[in-house]
Amino acid sequence: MALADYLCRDAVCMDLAARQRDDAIRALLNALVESGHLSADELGGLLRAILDREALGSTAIGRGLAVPHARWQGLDGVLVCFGYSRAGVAFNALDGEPVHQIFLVVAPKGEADEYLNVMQRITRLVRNSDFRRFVAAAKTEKDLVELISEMDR
Amino acid sequence: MAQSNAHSVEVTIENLMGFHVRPVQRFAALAQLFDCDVQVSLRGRVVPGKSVMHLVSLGGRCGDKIGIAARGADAEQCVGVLGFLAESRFFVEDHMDTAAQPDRHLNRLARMASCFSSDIEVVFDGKCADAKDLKSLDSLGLEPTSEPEFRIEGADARQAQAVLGNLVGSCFYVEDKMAQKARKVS
Repeated sequence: MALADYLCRDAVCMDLAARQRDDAIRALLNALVESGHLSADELGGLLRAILDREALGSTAIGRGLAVPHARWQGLDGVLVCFGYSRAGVAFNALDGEPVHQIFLVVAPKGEADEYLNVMQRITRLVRNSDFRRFVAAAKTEKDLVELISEMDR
Repeated sequence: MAQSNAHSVEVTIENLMGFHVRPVQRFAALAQLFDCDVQVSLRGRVVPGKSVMHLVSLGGRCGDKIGIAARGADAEQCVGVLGFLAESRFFVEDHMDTAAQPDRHLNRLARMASCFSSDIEVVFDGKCADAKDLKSLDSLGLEPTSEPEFRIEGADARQAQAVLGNLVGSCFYVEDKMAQKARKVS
C-alpha cells in the first residue's frame, strides 16, 4: 500500500505553531483526535508511549525529518499524521538541525510489515530534495496530501 | 593497522519488528565512529551504512539477511562491532527476557572490546579490569548506569575509545536505564 493509503488526510497540519518536540507531537495527536481517528481518552497514554520511545533515541533522523511513533492497541491498521513546520521544531535531532517535516506513526501492537512499509516510504520520500522543496512551497493541506500521493512511488 | 582492507559479514535480522528505526539508529551511530566506508546490502540493494535515512529505506524484515561490508584501515574492527550489534538484535529489548540476563551490559562491553587489538583496561571506583575478560570485568561491580573510564593502548585506541564511550553513554543499551536517564535530562 502507498503512504497516502495510511495518511489521515483530515488531520494534516499545514503549519505547526509548536517550536518544541513535545508540543508538536501533542498538536498532531490533537489533530488525530479532532478528526475522529483516535478518542480523546487515548491521547495521554499515546503521548507517553511516543515520548518513552523518544527517550531511547531521537526519531529526528536527518534532512529535517522526524518520525515519532508508538505501538497502540485497538487499531485496525497503521495511522500516519503529517505536520509541516516552516519555522522548525527543536527535536533533539541526530544532526542538531530543527525539524520541518513530522510524520507521526501509530502502529498496531505486534504488527511489523505495514509499519516497515510506512517507514520505508517516508524515508524514501523525504530523501527526495524535490519533495522537500515542494512541501516548503505548499499553500494548503490539500497541496500536501497531493504531494505525498504523487511523489511516493 | 593495514593501510587498506576490506571485510564483510552476513547477519540474519532476528528482530521481530525488523530493521526498524531504533536498530538502524544504533547501527549508523556506531558505524559513524569508524573511518572506513561502510555499505549495507539487502535483496540486491546497497546503501551507505552510516546513513539512518538510507538504512530505514531498506525496509529489512525479520528473517532477512543483511550484508555488512567495510573498506578501509579500520574495516575489520568496524565489521566486528556492527556484526556483534546485529547478531545481538541491535540491543533492542522489547521481546527479551531481561531478568534472565542481568549482566548483559558486561557481556556487551567485553564483546565490543574484543573487536579491537588494543589493550583495554576499565577503571572504575579505584579498581582496574581487563575489558575483554568477563571474569575480570565482573570484579568491578559495574552497573548499566556506571560511567567507568578506559585506558587504551594500541593501534586502534581511538576507535575503541569512541565505541566504548558510546556504549557507556547509552547505559550499555540497557533500555529501561536509557529511558530513566533521558527522563532525568528532560
